[in-house]
Amino acid sequence: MSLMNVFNTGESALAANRMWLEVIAGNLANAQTTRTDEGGPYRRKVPLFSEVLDAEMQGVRVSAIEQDQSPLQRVYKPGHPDADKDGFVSMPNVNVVTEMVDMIGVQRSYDANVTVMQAIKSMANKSMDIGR
Amino acid sequence: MRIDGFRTPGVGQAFGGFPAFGDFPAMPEALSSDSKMPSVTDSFEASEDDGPGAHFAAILNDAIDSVNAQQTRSEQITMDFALGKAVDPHAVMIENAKAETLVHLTSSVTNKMAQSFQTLMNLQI
Repeated sequence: MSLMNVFNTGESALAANRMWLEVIAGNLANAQTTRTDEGGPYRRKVPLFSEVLDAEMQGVRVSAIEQDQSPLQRVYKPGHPDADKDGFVSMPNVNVVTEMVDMIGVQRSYDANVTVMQAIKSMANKSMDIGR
Repeated sequence: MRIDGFRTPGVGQAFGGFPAFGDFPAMPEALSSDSKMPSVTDSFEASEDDGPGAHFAAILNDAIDSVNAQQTRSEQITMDFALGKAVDPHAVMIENAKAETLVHLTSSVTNKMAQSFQTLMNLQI
């Protein structure tokens, strides 16, 4: 049913946005993390979105969460336990301002997708007026 | 001619002597060979399958089945959410919105169908 397809598409977009927000939350939480399981400081994570095309929807999904390979910040902190012999610490390549901007984008995108679903719902309601 | 008209085979045969009783059962045989002969039960069953009103009933049933399925899904996901399972809040709201829209659509369509049926029933012949 095409009406339900729009709902399914919107739901996939909302789920993808929620996932993106989770990634941003992780990035912000680890903005100062210098130790990770794979060794070295935390690297910023980036979600990758893929299109989903099937009979039920034309949506989106998070196909992978990759690491941002941009260089790490070198900060002079001689007292830090992870400082090298010159007193420099490799800090995560997370820029808090970038994350905040992304977060605004996620919120707006979420709003837009909710609006799409409100639109299809009001269209369905409007179509019932034909029978009146 | 009129007298000939009275000459039904039975009467003629009666005059020529009664036929053996064994000749008569030809008629039930002919009946039984005609398998499409309608019977009371046949016509009764047929009226349930495709008599008047069957299409209205089928359309209404189909619509209500699909709405019922959506209602069940909506109820299930709402329950899962209330029980603290890993369900997205937007998924709950979307399933509820789907169910609500379908119920509205069904009630509109049902009203329209009932109205059509009434209109047909009230036709002056």
